[in-house]
This record gives sequence, structure tokens and C-alpha cells, in this order.
Amino acid sequence: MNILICLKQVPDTELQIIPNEAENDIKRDNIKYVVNPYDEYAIEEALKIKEAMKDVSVTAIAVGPERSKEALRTALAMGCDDAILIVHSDDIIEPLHVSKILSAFAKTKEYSLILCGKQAIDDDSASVGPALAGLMGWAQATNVIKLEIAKDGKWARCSRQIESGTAIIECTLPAVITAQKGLNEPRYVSLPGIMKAKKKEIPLIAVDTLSVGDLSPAFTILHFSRPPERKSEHRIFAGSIQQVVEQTISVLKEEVKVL
Amino acid sequence: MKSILIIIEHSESVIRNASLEVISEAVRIKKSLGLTLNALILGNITDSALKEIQKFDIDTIRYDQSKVFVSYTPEGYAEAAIHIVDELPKPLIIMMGATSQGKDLAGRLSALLDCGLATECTKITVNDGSGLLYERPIYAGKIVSQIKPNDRDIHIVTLRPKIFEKEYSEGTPRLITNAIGVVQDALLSRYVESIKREGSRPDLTEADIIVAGGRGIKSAENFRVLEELADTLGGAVGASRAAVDSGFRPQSDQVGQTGKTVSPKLYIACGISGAIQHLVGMSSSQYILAINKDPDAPIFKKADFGIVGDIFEVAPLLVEEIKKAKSA
Repeated sequence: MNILICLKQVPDTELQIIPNEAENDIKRDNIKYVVNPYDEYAIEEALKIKEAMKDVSVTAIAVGPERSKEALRTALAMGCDDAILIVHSDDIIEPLHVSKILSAFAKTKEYSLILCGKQAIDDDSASVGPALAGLMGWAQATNVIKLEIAKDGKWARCSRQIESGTAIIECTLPAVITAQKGLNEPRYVSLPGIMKAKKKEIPLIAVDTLSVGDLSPAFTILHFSRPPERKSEHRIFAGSIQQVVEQTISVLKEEVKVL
Repeated sequence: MKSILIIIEHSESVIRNASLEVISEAVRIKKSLGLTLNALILGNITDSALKEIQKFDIDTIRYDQSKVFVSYTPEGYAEAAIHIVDELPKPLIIMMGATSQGKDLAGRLSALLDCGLATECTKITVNDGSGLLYERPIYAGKIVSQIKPNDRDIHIVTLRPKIFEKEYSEGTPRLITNAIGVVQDALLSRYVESIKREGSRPDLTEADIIVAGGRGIKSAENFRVLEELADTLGGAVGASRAAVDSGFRPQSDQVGQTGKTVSPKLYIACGISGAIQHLVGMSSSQYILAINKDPDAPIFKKADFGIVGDIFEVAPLLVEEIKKAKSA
């Protein structure tokens, strides 16, 4: 079984992010990039399947600027068999374009399963996975917190996190599955893993060598801004615990109006 | 723009609030731009749910209760939507709630229709009397991106729940039943069952009140204090990433980047210091009450009200006083 994992390299969650001067992107000086956290669950799940089943090959792929190779290197160090970068020099790409590029690539190979993070934490669109499934004409399961592949490799049982709890679905393979936090506990990268990953070649593919179709943008970005600051008085209640609680009850009644 | 198609979502045969908010916003757009407003309901809803939809200024409601639509499947729902899209005048905007179902469907639909998709919009404005501008938070809300749809036949927008105001509007919608008329026979997936969260607490993204705890709560057992406060207020329990990663709460309770973005009326942050990835997930709350031992905790800078003190002393007393206030 061949598994493809789609990765994105994103700014670390700990970072404060601000717009650039042209307000058409974020300020990218001194940004520390990491593997999109949700993609780590996708990698881990693929590696677990590889360990549990025979003849499984795991390929990691990213669409992005050349620095994305670092994220792919991490995937290799975790245990992926190989990694490929489809070079796209723009930092901002519409999610559907990413899906089109990925599907154009995936259609040239034979994959049974494509795993992605449920969303990239930069654009927060959560649409590359389901759009990729649509383009491939495959089944999909998003927000997955438990995945069981049937022994015959023909279908999968997926637990999806939804608002009211968990929805369980069964889907045919091939399928696109997107990983939610809770699916597994991603492994740490080992030193031998890093050494092995360093030796591996990461082939680069140019977008124009794939038949991706129309990549003209559906939206124009007018500007990026910081969200407005919360207007609040920062009222700190003072006094004994009893007094502080009384003041709290009074604002919950009079201002917040929840009592 | 000539028309809007809203894909309505329901849970246990009742229309979800996220959908009622989408309809309300769509009616506002309709009034500004003079479009026709269409709604699509797939599966079974109650009579009173159907009546509720008819309280809005929608032109046509298409309703299909065919067996294949009773449970949501992305392939079935996407194909049904495309069927309706073909009939509607273009340019067309497809709208739905940015719920787990909405996002699952919107992504697939954007691929099948080869159209743009703006997810989790928090503001829609009419531009130059004819076009629309969308605002969507990105980087977990650290940045707001304002975008304009380019000149295309179709685009999709999903609206973040609990942002847009629900507002009934006079209307006399035309109801078309059995609207799809095609039976799916090649679904790639099958809905098996749903397992509801234990207890009666609302979902974080839908709750009006959230009581959230951080590392300062120190153990899973200690969260009982917050659960009691939440239950007294009829709210949900949330947690910071630190609390989730320490195993105090399940991942589904996590608020912030790599968790949920919430906008309740009242957010009570207990023993949460206020790391940036937490703050971005809750700062659109209407009111924030912070309870923390450390007077220098960054959470106080975001809070409307603060109590510097021990949550384990404050919370039980709050519960007692809230009960008194409620029974008064």
C-alpha cells in the first residue's frame, strides 16, 4: 500500500504574527518555521500503518517555497520513506490550487491513502484535504481522531470529531483522511533518524511539469491587518474573597446579564 | 451577483444555530444587493424546524427527504448541491456555516465546482453597491485577511458560528419538496453512528458561557470544581493546550490555536496564564473573567474582570452565590 502525506511548513504557533508593510502578507523576517502541527498526526498515523501492515510505503509531499524542504526533512527523520517538494515560490497559495497541484501529482502514482492535517495553522482554511478528495473522486473523512484500515486494504473506519461528539463513518479506499489532534501521539525525531534523513535526496518538481489546470486566483487579497484590540477596562476586584465574589456576582447580573 | 444558495444544516432534525445565522446574514445581503435567496435542506427536519426556516425572507426552499440524504455524506450532499447550482442564475454565492459538516462539504464542493472558497468569514460588507468583501481571521486570529471575490460565476463562503446575528425577517418562501429527484447509488462512504459527548454541556463553539482551566488547575480531578461552576451557569468546560497536553482534559475541550476558536458571551479563564496561542482562540468572547493567583499573568490584560486569588477557594464560593442569585 502506498500512502501519501501532504505537509505544509508554517510559522510556529508561539509566534506573534504581524502584517508586512504592503499589508498583503505577514512580516516574514525572523520567522521560525515548523511542520504544521496537524500534519505531524498525519505522519505518525501513516508510520503506524506502515508498522502494522506489510509492504507499506510512505511518501511525504509539500507544495511551497524551497525552505519547505526542512519540514520534509523532519518527516523523513520521523520515518517516512521518501519526500518530494513541488516548488511554488509564493508563500500564499489558494487552498484549491494546492489541492489541484497535489491531485495532479497523485494521479501519476498509485496511492491507497492520502493523509493530511485537518488544516494548516497559517491559512486556517481546512479545505485542502476535502478538495483533494473531490478532485481525485475519492472518499474523504475530515477531523479524524481514530482510523482503522481494514485488513484487505479496501476500506477504513473513521471516527470524526464533530460538535456533538464523534461521528463514525466507513469509507472505501482510496480516500483522503485529515488528521485532528488526538489521533495519536507523534513520535520524537531520533538522532539516527536525523542522520538517515540528511542523506536522503528530496527531489524538486516544478508546478508547470504537472497538468494542474487553471490556477488563476478566485480572490484578491485587499489587505492583512491585526485584529482590533479588545476594549476592556481590566477591572480587578479587590477585598476579601467574599467581597470579590460579591462584586463578581454583581457584574454577572448587571453587565454581563447571565444571571 | 444574482443569487445565493444556502446549504442548511440540522442536528437531530432541528436547524443548527450556525445555519440560522447564515440565513440571517444572507437576508441582509439580499436586501442590499437584490438577489434571489435559495435554501437547500437535505434529510429530515421536524415540522417546527421547517416553519422556523419559513420565518426568513427566503425566496425558495428546496427540501429533499430522500433516504440517501438522511445521514450526511460529503459525496451525496455535494452532488445534491451541484444539482441545484446548475438551476440557479449566476453569478452565485453558496453559503453555509463553518461547522465540521460545513467545512467538510465546502472543500469538496469547491473542487467539484472549480470555484473559490472563503472559509470561516467573520464579516461581510457590501462594496460599491454591487460586490462583496469578506473578512476572515487567519493565523488563528492573529491576522485578519480582507478579500474580494474575483469575477467568477460561483464562489463559496462559510461563516464562523456565533459571529453573525440571528434575525428573523418577513417572507413567504416557496417550498419545493423532493427537490433533487436523483438517487445516489455510488456513495463512497457510509455513516455508521454518532457517539454523543457525555453529559448535557453544550459544545464549546456553541456555548454562551465557557469555564476554562489551564495548567494552574493541576489535575484532571481538580477540574471537577470548574465543571460544577460550568454546570451552575449552564456552560461548557474548556481547557488550555497546557491542560490538554498534561492529560487533564480531552483534546475536544482545547481552546486556542490547534484547538477551538470560541466566541461565548462570558469566558471564565481559571488558572490560565494567557499564552498567545490561547488568547487568540478566546479573545472574541464578549466578556472575559480571569481568575489567577499570579497578578502579573498576561490573561489579566485581555480580561474585563479579574480576580487575583486561588481558584479552589473562589470557585466554590462563586457556585454558592450564583445558585443563590438564580433562586432569588
